[in-house]
Amino acid sequence: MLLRATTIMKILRLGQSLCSSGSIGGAFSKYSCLFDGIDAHVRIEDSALLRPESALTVSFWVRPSSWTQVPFGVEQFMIGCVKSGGWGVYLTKQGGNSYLRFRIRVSDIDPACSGSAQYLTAEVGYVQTEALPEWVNVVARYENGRASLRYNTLSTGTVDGIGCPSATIVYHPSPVPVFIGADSASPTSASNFFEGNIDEVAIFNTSLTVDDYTSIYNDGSPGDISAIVGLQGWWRMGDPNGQASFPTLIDNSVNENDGTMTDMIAADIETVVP
Amino acid sequence: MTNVAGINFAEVVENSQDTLRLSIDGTKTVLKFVGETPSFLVGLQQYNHSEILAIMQTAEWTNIE
Repeated sequence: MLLRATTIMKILRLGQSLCSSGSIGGAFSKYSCLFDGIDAHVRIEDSALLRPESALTVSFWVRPSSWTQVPFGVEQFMIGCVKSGGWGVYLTKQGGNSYLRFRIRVSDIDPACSGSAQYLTAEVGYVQTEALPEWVNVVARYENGRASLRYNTLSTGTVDGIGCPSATIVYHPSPVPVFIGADSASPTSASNFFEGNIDEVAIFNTSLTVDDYTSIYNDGSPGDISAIVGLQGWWRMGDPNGQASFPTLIDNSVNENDGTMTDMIAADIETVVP
Repeated sequence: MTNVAGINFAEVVENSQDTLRLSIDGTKTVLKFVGETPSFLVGLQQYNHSEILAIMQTAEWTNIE
């Protein structure tokens, strides 16, 4: 089917306008991916391994173009599959303030609870969100009816999303790709595009302990997380081969569920790292 | 240009018709390119990154929650 378009808009890319003061890491991570906020995203194909139902942790490092300049009402997803059921982490603005949020769809099947699916939302308050440093390690967790967010291991100013303790994570029956730098508009397309850099994305089928995510944070320097129990996917966003990796972002877990850079170019793999 | 059949995906950043970002009403799309303007886009409106970002954040292109 041909899609009618009355106007085609075009962009003249003007170099690395989003790239500024990041530094080249001397250690583990040497590359991150730049997302342009227009249509760039990384597509990770549906896999049962990435659809844990009882517990989940998503960890990544993020450097938005700004923590405060998200337009009112717009949700910029750093990673997500919310519109496929699932979950997502995003930056949004409400009432003039910016919030970092984690939304997850769960089923309150316990008759003492709602008995249906609902969304839980955890957030980092606007005071903390708007004061976040350039690079932040974000850890979103779900287990036993509680969704939580941590930033650089901290919980100050965060609010958990609370549901029924027996609630499990719900996904739609259709394929559920995970998008980095966007949410899923459908099983085949992306939406809610993020503007900024993302690095070292990992998905676990467990709710990580404080010791685990403190290890991931590693005093602000990403490191090897392969020994952490429950690792289901780990995309290093260009490491170790840099732009030669394009368009495939290798899954460094044992599951080999590689991601595909979509509507992106090799130069979107940058030496801008935490 | 009146439909996407005329897009030469070898000359733009977008991967395919399936990955095109559409306006909310589905009548418009946005294409990125590097370097010289692809011949099939000559004469159409162009924007730089900051300009198109501002457009993408309007209700025409984004669901405002």
